Amino acid sequence: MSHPFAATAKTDPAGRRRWLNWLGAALIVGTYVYLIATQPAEVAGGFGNPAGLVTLLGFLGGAVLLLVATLPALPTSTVVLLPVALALNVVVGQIVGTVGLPLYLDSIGTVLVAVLAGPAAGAATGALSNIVWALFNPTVLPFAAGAALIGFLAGWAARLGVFRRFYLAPIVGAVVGVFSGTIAAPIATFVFGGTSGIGTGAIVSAFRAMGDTLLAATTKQGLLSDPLDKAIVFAIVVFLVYALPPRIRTRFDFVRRYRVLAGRRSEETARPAKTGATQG
Amino acid sequence: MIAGGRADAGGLNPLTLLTGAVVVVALTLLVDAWQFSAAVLAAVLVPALVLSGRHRRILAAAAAILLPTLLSIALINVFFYPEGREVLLAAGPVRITAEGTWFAVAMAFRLCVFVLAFLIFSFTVRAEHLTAALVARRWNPKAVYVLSAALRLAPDIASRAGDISAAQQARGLVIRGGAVSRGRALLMLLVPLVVGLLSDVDERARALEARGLGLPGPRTSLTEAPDSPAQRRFRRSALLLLLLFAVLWIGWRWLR
Repeated sequence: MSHPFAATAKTDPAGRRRWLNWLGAALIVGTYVYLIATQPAEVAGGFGNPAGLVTLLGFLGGAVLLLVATLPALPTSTVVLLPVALALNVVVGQIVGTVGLPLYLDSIGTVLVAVLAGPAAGAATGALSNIVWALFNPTVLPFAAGAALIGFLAGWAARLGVFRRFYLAPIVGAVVGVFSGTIAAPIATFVFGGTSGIGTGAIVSAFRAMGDTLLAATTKQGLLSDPLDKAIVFAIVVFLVYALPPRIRTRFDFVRRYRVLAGRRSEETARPAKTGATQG
Repeated sequence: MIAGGRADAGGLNPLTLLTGAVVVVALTLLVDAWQFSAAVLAAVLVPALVLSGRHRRILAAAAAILLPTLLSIALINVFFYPEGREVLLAAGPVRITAEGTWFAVAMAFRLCVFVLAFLIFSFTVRAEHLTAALVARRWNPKAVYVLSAALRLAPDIASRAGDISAAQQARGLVIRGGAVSRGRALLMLLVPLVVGLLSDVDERARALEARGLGLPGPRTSLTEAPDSPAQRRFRRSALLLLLLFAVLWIGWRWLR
């Protein structure tokens, strides 16, 4: 389905993109390490310190670099998936956000794209979805890096075959939740001084009452809420992808190439030209 | 709102508005004192709110976001702040400290500035002007497409979700009740929604590919965002001054 002039589209050198990818990842990790290392002075020290700005710039800047690196390289068939996934994240996230549970379920679209189109597409969806959602709710903006991480990890999990078994998906989802909960904690601490919901706020208060620092308390709250949330999201997504008609789910090159889903033979032989590389 | 796009920002370029919001938020985070945040709120954001002409909708959206967050910040920091020395009131595990209260006040003002500055931007800017401004800045066409398509799709998907939910209820689906029945209801909504959305995607991909979305080179936009040399100068100098201030401020704190 490529355009007759698509051959000239490869002006974007892959080397530069890889470099930008590493730079973005390094910026996110570096910001996290800096915040963990300087943490005691920053919160107890009170006012006039740039920790909030450093957090925002580091995580958001890293997410934007990842976007610049991944988005132009995605094929059109994947690019059209992104706005749908973005809108799905926002709509479901908004619905769940009003219920008052300490859950978010705002990454269904991200994980869905990651399973259908791979880690790069998943990371781009995660980062962009928080940037777009920020137009309606600015408080989700700093969490863009965490959302990108979720998409990236979900894509790798799909590539390694996690979604071939129903029971594996929620387990791996919980593991992904450990990472996303950990990376979100400094943002809640240094940008907002707490959490964005009352349910999660009560959990943080309980840890604070036991004498934890604010960062430790938000990290523990993240480690309680996020694995559960991501386990549910992964379970929903595994349900969704198997509910898709085979016509739709075998259309994605990533799904066929790495045999992401436990396919019936008949589905795969339906496209004999492309089943050569089933084993990634 | 940005998705509806009926507001007119009075000839302001979307990037000018965005620069303003970014400068206000960055300064507030950098200075990090509640007096400064309160001053910004009173002197910059309240007048901007009035000038935007959509203060009702902005305030309603801001309240929906801010209320739970402010309550959470107050709950955490006013009542439980183990680092606090000056205890105002102690009862059981609850210790109200002066330090914790001031920390909560500072965070609350900062958060109000953060949320209001960006909401004023997104409620006054027109979606097509934002797209046009990004095209003019030579952004990657795929990024511009994703951004503008997502903004147009969100209300469409929300209404489609409403339709599916109504249809499922009409054939006897019960939404109320415990977690299991709610979870089941969510899946009954999501499966038809996602299947429908993904089957539209293929058609759209062909249409966009045929129109050369993947091709390199500059694009021209049908609509043009308003802009002026004065606004361009404002954007450049505001960002430069912000950078200069940040360097001086951090340097000064370092030396002290």
